[in-house]
Amino acid sequence: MLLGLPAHLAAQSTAQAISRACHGIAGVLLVSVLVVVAVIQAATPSLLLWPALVALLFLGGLLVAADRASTSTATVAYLLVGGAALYLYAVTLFSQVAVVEASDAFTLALPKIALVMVGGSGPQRRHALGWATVGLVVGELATQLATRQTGQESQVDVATLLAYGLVAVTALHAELARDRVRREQPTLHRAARDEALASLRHDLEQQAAAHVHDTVLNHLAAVQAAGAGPLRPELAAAVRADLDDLVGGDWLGGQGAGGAPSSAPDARPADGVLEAALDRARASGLEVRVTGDTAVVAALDAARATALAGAAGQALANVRRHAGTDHAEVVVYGDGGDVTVMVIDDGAGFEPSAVPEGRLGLSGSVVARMARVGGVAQVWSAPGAGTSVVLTVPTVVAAGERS
Amino acid sequence: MTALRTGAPGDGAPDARASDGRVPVAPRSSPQQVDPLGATGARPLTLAAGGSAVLLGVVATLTGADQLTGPASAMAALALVAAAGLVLWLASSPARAPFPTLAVVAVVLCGAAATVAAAHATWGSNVGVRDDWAPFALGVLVLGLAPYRRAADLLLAGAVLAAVVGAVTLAQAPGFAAPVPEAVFVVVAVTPVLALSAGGAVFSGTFVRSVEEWRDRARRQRAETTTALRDPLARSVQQDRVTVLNRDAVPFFADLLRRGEVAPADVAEARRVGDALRSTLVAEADRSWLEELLTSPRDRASGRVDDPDGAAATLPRDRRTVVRALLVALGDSDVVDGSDLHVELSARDGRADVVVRVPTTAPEALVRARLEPWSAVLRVVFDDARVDASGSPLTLRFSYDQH
Repeated sequence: MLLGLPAHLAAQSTAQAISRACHGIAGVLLVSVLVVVAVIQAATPSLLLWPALVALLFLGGLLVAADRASTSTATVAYLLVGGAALYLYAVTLFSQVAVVEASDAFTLALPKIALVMVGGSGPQRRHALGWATVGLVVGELATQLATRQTGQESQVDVATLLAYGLVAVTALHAELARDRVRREQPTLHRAARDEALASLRHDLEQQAAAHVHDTVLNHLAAVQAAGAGPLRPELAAAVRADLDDLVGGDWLGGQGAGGAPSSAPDARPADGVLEAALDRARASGLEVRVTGDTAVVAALDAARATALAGAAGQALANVRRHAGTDHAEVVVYGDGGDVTVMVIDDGAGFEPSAVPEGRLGLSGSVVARMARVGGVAQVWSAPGAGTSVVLTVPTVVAAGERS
Repeated sequence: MTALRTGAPGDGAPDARASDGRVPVAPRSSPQQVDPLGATGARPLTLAAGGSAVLLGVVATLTGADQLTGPASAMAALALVAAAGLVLWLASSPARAPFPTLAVVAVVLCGAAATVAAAHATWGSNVGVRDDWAPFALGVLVLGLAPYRRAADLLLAGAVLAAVVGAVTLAQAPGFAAPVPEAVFVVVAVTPVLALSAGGAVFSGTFVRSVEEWRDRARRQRAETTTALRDPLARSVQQDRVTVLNRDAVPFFADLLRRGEVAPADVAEARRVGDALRSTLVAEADRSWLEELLTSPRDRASGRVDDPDGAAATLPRDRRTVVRALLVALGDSDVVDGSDLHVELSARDGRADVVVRVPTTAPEALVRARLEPWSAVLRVVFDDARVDASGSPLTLRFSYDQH
């Protein structure tokens, strides 16, 4: 999980959020004053207020444009053309003296505050305070001009000053506070990267352990089982081949079963890997009866097919070594979304919760191998009742599975 | 019969909605949830919001003293706003993150009650709404919630308070001096609440969206980096494994192949080599990410892990990142002895409890101040996280569902 933003982006995102919040405030103010003027106009049709309404609509349009375009040009247009609109609005309002008396400061202050809430569009986002100051000055000039022209008395506009103070405090704080608490942020982001690498390494180690288990440990077990005497030629050949591969080959990098998604370039359908695993089990002296079509494995990518075949091969190796039987049944089927392989024997069975310490076969070679490719391994067994291993792999990568 | 089942637990489940590359229109998180450190940094503004709401009330009450008919109600209104500000301050503490819903309700209730009390204080003598201070104070309080709550919560709080303000204004309307429709008074009164709430909501929504967009980009980039690092990492893991094999297994097989004969001593040797190799593999397979982190020389954090149930492996990967970051930060900290960490995990009924203890090396107040940001981060990820900094060792507790 990634929490928080790097310092430079945090400053930018906070500035952007403050800027858009200002636009939100300005929008509500303009709608409010529009409603007030419209209601007064409706209540007193003799008043000539439509130019004020037009000016407000114009100001609103400019605000939307400044918010959407988010460029300095749009912001300057909002301030300058908006200042002119405010002037038109104020002149209209002042010419209807009775109305101004009714809600003077309010109806006049709202569009002025809307100019202060210009935000900080464009590349100069961080200079929200500067833009707000320009908005304050333009608004004040426009209304003072209208006041003079219509012979009104000018008043100190506390509400607008408070609004300016709000923007100033918020913008200054965002600028000053950004590096104080954020010194912990790099630790959070480094941990996210380390976690990804640690889990990849863990996958690779498990994969390597499974490979060593399938090769070296199996051969050591075969030497013990055969006892003293001449080394069987097929065992010698297998040992030689596996040692060459282990020491000289690129056996871990080539399997592609780690974090690579199925869309990776190395993903290709793997035909025949399951048959090969079954053949190896038969060669070791196990009688394997197969039901179902092993070709359904072709629906999987190389990583999944290899993991499935490896897990099935290991389950068969366990049958030969521990079950006390030389018969095993393999059932293969695919249902469109999953490919399932069942390895069933009617041998000695065991208590899954009582697997002796120090055994890697089931957890490392079968269970972990399936988990790595998003599959599931279920083992059903009880002493004297045989063992069923059910291996299921999805044919498609689930969304976000390997993020 | 017993079943053994596995899958790939916790892979990015909480972030699934971002994995498809789209960002939801209405953010389901608060700024504090996506950026706990940023929210902690915004706390001075929260204090300023509460303080200025009270200040606004005091100044307006004093300057409008001539309209006052119920001084007791005026005091009550100020006390209620102060109470709302206090709740805001306390609930925004990193130790209480994420900001509790109950605190939002308390702020709204106090604010609504303050509005009623303030109206009662000037009942019958209130000449107009534009000098009423309550709507401004309420708006500022809702704005103070912005870094901690979702946009929808802020809009709801604003709407509820606006409704109260509107109703109170309507009740007072017959006494107002201005000859305009009652609707105008209502609009004038609710505008500050609505505008500031809208501003807060836009801030919250915009900030969360920009964090989510960045997180999405970072996740994609990380996936690419991880894929690129797979091959070098695989080579390193393979080299480690070959080194282990070269110790015993390879010389043993080489000797066996050369002689072509299994001697009685070879059977015993095969068992010895096999057991040694297996125990190495099992020890590595059983070693959790937590033990690896605390024993790795790369990070300064070190210590011991007590995890008899293997609970570390069941901590979902995204939350692991946060625990990893915390431990690394403790390792780098100059107020605790990060080389003597003690992490205890215990599992019961599908839940795992984690206790982290670390000796402190600085006065309590300093330890508390330094670890404050981590308190917020931990509590956003583990809702029951507790940090106990009274005395040494410092203790951090949290728990999680094992799924």
